[in-house]
Amino acid sequence: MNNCVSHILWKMSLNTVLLAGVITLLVGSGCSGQGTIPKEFTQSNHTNNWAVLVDTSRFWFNYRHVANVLSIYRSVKRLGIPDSQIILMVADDMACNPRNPTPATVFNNANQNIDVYGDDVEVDYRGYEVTVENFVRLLTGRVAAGTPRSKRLLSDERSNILIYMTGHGGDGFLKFQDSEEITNVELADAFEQMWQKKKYNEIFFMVDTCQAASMYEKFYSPNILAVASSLVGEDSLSHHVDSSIGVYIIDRYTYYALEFLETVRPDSSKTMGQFLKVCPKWACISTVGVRRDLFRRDPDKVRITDFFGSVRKIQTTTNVFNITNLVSI
Amino acid sequence: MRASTEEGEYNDKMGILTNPNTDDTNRLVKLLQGKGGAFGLVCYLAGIVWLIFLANADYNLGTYFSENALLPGLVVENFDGAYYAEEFTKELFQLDTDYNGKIPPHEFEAFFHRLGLVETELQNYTITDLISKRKEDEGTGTNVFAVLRAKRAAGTESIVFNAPYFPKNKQISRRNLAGIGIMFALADYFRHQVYWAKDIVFLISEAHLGSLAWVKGHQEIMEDWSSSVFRFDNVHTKAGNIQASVNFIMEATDVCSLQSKFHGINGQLPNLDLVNLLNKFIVLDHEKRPDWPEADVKKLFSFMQMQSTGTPSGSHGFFLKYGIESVTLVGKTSKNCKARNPVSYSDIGRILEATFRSLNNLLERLHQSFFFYLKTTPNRFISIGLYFPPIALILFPIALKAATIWLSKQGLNTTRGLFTLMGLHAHAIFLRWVLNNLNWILLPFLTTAIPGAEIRTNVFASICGGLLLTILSFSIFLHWNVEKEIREAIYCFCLLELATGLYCLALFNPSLVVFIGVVVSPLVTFLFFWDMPEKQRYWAKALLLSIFVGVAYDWLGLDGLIYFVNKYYYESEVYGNFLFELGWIGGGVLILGVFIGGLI
Amino acid sequence: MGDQDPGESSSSANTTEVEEAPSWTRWTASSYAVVMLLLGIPLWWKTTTVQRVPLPYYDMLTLHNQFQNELLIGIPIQFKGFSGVLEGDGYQNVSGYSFKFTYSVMSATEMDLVYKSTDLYHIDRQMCAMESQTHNELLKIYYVGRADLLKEYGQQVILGNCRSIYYIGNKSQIDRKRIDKLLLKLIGATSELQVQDSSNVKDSLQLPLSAGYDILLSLLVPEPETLESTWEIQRGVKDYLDPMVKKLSRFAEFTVRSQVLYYVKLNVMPRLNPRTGIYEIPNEQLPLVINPVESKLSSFVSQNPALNFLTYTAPCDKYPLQILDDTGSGLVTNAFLVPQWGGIFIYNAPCPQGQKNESLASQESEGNEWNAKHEVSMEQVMAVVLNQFRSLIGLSDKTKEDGVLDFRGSTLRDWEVDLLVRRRLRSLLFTSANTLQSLGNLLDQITNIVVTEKVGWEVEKSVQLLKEAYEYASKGNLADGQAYALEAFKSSEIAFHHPTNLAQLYFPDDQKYAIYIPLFLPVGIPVLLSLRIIFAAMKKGSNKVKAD
Repeated sequence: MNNCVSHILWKMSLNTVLLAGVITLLVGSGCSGQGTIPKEFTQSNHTNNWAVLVDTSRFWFNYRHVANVLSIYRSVKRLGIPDSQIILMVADDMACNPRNPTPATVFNNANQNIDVYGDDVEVDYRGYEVTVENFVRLLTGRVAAGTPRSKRLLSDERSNILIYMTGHGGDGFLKFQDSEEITNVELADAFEQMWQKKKYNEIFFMVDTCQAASMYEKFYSPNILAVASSLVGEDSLSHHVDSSIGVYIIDRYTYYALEFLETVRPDSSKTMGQFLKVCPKWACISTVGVRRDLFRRDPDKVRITDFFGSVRKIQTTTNVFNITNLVSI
Repeated sequence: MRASTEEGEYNDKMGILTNPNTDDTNRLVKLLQGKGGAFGLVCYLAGIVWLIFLANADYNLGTYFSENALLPGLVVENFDGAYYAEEFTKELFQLDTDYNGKIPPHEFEAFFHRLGLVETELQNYTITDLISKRKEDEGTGTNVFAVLRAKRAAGTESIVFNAPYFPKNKQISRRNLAGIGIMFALADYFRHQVYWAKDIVFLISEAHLGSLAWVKGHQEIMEDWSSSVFRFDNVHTKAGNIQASVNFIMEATDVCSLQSKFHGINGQLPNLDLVNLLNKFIVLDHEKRPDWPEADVKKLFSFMQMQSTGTPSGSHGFFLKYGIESVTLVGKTSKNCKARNPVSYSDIGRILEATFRSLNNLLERLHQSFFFYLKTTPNRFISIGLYFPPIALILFPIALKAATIWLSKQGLNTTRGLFTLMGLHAHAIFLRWVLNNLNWILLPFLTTAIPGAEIRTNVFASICGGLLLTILSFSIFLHWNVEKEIREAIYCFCLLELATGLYCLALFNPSLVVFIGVVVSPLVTFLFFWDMPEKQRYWAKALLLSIFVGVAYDWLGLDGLIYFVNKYYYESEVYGNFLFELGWIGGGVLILGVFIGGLI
Repeated sequence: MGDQDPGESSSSANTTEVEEAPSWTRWTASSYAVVMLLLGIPLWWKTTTVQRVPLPYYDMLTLHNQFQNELLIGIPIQFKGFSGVLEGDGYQNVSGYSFKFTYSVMSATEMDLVYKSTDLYHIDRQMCAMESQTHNELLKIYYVGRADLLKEYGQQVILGNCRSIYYIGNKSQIDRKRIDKLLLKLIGATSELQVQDSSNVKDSLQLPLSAGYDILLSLLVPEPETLESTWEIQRGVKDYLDPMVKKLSRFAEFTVRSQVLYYVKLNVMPRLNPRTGIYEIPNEQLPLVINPVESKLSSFVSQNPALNFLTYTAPCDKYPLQILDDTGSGLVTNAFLVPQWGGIFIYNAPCPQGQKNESLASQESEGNEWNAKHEVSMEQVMAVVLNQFRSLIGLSDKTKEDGVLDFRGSTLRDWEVDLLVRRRLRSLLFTSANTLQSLGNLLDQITNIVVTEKVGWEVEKSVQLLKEAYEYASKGNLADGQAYALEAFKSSEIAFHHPTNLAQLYFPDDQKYAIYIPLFLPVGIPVLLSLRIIFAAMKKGSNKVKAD
């Protein structure tokens, strides 16, 4: 009898211990830090992040394009991509434009909460340097000898690159600086060259112009996910006017995209799938187009920080040398 | 028969690549001779009806902005200096009384300095009396202007704000003192803003001619055909390249409606964007949207009337002449305007501020929108693409007639005809030269011709004399040696030149051509009866000519004619309004040629 | 007669005129046609085709696969003093390397060295001295049959500091298993055999390929007004870093620079541990440290990748500062590194007591120096830097390892440098071949790209050099192999990245027609039509002749 009872007690305590162990394991795995990725996200292959942000239009009445690109720049920087891995191309200087009633600032909202220009913006290609040729050279790596590091895209085959372009566009082309255009075929060829030279792991391509979807129609290289603010035949509209500055201050798609990005932190678990749905038709008026057939992973299982953020992997140093043992030869 | 085969073979040899068929030409000529007149008449009437229909809102276009950079109305206006405007106006009225109607320029300059605009300059100009050319009859004036430099821009471009000042002895009772007062208030407001990308020139020109002097001085156009009568100082303070100019006239201190004026010299019009800009702010800021009728033939007619005279409706005409887009904002007053609700200075100031903010956004000269248009109501316009076909139809019978004559008369004696035409032109030039040098050629003869008459009457008399001279000399010349072929040649070439001239003129001043065409087109094509017996034809034309002259005389009267002639003489001398003269006098000479061809 | 004659004469006049008149016109029209068709069109075609110099496409497209399947870098090893030989063909292939075994006896000097020295370190030192005199690059395994060493180390194969390996045992037969383990160590693999291509994420964290690298040593002084740190960096570099860098000169050129940055703080928010009184930086904050500080480090004009070693002296109000590792306990070394970027070391300089809270003014009025000065210990810094440097270039960072002799006299072993050179050689060969293959594929796919003579020349050169480098690598001749491979790499990069390789402007087909039709149609149609008429006339003429 005693043996039975003790046996039962023994079994119960064993079960309790086992249960406790299982619970601890589950809780522990759930509460671990950044190192473990929950099962619902697919493992990413990349080790570093780059961003190429391009504003192609100049003149004061295109203020909103500069505000667009600077807002994305701020978000991307906030989420961790350093300036040395961001190539920012801005075709005109809005902050120092004589028509700007608040000099040295660029705002993306009529309530003028955030000055997206700030005092630590690093523009790599400015003014007339933003040309189709320079852009294609930047992407394919065929820059002229003597180009400084900050103007080169030094990505490797483990880099995830975010490419954002804004400006005026049409069916099959994007207008640069009011005098030239880049066609979707040229862009697709540039990406193919990048793929051949193993310059990217995955690319996320965002474009906010009129008839933007035509820009990603001709892509044929793998691992590209693309989103456009409007389909062919539609115009992308601006969001609102800042009546104290007197210009349209931001475009609709970028406005809602930013609204979403403001809620993302470096350790956020929001997905790219959520980002792709960020501007429904009632908000954007134009239809947002997505191209996902070239992308190997399911965007609903990809973290948004895979493209917008950059967290460095660190290794703690566990040993140091005993210097006294070293005698120089 | 043989002749035609020869011609046919000759044509065959002309080239391997073309092969005309002479049979077709004959058929065409027969068609033209038979049905050409009726067809021409139909075209003429269709053109007139079409033009009238264009005034209807269903058949013309609504106004829109073509220049993306303007961004009109996006920025909120913050002008709050209406109080200062009123104070300045009161001060100016006081000065006006003190100086007995002619405020000296240094007072204006002092005003500018008070406002903080230190870069000022005075410019003098003189104009001699065209008829007497006596020194005692010279008029003088002085312009005052100040330049507000753009603080953060390179100053390569500028805009002009012109509020002309009319001193008392210029016979204009409205002196625009309120306009200058509002301009001072705006100058003060503008000086405190940081967002100017262009220099702003605040100009107080003396009378309308002052603007002409200023523009010519600033653009350094020192020597042209008017230098003998119109002289001015060099302008030393230069602003940047002038992109646009806005003129502002207040007819009284209390105005009840605002109007934009934009007719330039010779029918030139400013870029439609500028006109629409000003109109937008007038409607936006002040007027409740008025009830504009759907069809505005009356408005179109008054527009065309204004444009056809070629006289500018304000100082903007002088700016336009030198390639600077310009409009005038006029505050119009009416009886008991003070009792009703006058337009507040605040509203007027904001309209001007909004206009200048929009112009500030410009990157290039205004070039995107139309330069040739007809305007009915402020929100609709007729572009050149819409109005040119009806005008072409109205003038078409002239060209058709010329073609008919050319094609049907083989062996037209072209050389004699051409020489005659050149002779006609020589006479026109001679006439012009006579007018130019009136005083020392004709004056001695004519002051005694009609004793006691004024000099101006003599002008008219001399012109009539000249015309008569022309006709007589021609008649004498042509009395001998007149062949049917020569007459036909003159007729044909005159028609051709008339048609060409009128078509070309229609590009610049469509209104003038409409009025001329409506009268002349039937006159020279339908009223020329080849088939009448000679004597009857002679008397028919003599009758028509006398009716024509008689009607003109009765309608205008001698004084009217004198005024007419004097005005246009003056205008063409001083600032080149010559299209009217060209249109009527040139056309008239050609018509004369036509008649000569038929009279003798 | 009068009536008839004119008719007849006119008709004969007709025929003669029709025949004679067009002869000169016929010649003109045909000359136009000749110029246009025979001269104009070929000229236009030639000037609008994309200029392409012929390239060795076959080689470009197949070299990479060839390397992948067949490249085996030779590593000659000599067994000295053993009695037997290993079975097999005298070579062993291990994941891309081919060890070639040779056997010989030990010479008298070598015997002396091995058996007469005091301990293993002594043996090794002398062996190193001998090697440096003879500049011998061969790996040698010595049989060390000494009982005392056997007692000390057990049966082990121990790698020395140079190219000597000591087989400690009691039998002079070669034990296969021990040799296998040794071979893996020699090529830097872990215990499992792993294929050394870049599909492994860990491998991709090695240094990127470049001819040279920059090393930047920075001292960050956050509050110089309270604590001003200085360091004798020149001495430190000369004593500790330079020897290492010199040894690595076979591998790559390293340029060393240093700087001191004031008023730069690290983006950390340390928490005070009340128990220990230490300010602790949690592990999660570490990755966010680098981005803000990186912009303050200068970026040179050089194109070489840079390795940054930062030494951060803790500010006085956060003293002492310690990093926590991922288990939450304090990290003794207080340092961490970021692969491909560099390392950070947090140095706790002793803050003078009582000066933490005094204001500057009061300090100045006392006539004292208003801040404390501290000389950073170069030994501490270098200890960390050297270790982190080893890790960054791809060597193990363990100071004590099984089967490897401890560091004496240097922080880099010759065979480790060999290992790096071999890895790099492999990398160079593969990358160059890959670049050429990419270029070949690209030129196939995008027909708009111009290929100039310079590019053609570089490609030829690269292909040639690659083939030769392959030969040298197979034989194990590292120096020549690396030199040729480096040149081939440079050439292939120049060829691929040549600025003239830009695709010409793309014109959609309808735009091409829109440009050419207005040019050629107005000229072409009349000429062709007149040709037709000429032919018709010629036929008629020949018919007429026939009829006559």
